Amino acid sequence: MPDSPRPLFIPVVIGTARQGRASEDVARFVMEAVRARPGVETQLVDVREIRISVTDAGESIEDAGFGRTVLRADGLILVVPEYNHGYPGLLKCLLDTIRKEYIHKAVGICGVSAGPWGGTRVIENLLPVLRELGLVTIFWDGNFANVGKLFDAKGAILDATYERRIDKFLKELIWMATVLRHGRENVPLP
Amino acid sequence: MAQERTVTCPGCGAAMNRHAEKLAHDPRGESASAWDAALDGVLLEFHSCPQCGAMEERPARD
Repeated sequence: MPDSPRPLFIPVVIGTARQGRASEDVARFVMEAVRARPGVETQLVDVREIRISVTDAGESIEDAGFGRTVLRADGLILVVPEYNHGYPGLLKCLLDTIRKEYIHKAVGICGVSAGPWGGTRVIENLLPVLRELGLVTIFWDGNFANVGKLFDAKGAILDATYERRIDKFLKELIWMATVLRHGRENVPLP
Repeated sequence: MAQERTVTCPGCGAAMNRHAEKLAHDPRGESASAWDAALDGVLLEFHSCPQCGAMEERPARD
């Protein structure tokens, strides 16, 4: 349970802008699970809604809204589809636009795949990127496999085991976000 | 250039906590003047506010 009067803020980022993306159902499922937690606020961040140049990098193309959201955040949840074992380029472009906003904040990844591995390969590929950004990765992941069959037409998840899995993921992420907030705000660098 | 270690939060005026340093090899704007040849980059330090959670970044003091 967070020990600060300020609620934790953990936005959920949809990491793809593709038409027909299944990651949107995953993101909404995860976001509802976050919303159910006391003392935690969340918000959906959709890369499709953020206009950034892909011919430049850094703060010159920073989206002010994205920067403010991550600045306020204590942690992030990235919902990332696996495209040919990799992460979407647009997500990487977006992540690279800011710097200080990430430092010593928790991040968890929910991998999404059409096949049986639940995005394990894109998660592994993304970990060193997040480390370099200054984020602190947790050791629980969300693995949404066979995603084309995982949600009904209204976006409701069909496999109840994911409720328990995301519960474990969020417990770890919230613990890490709580500890890191305390550290950022109270523990000086030696 | 030497800088004061304590940073005051621009949002609420509280004393911020210096909790991280990071080496930037692609400094932006005024940070470029703080290039450290020994580290081959600009050493940045990061401060967070215990009152409102704001964060600040600046070239490190040393």
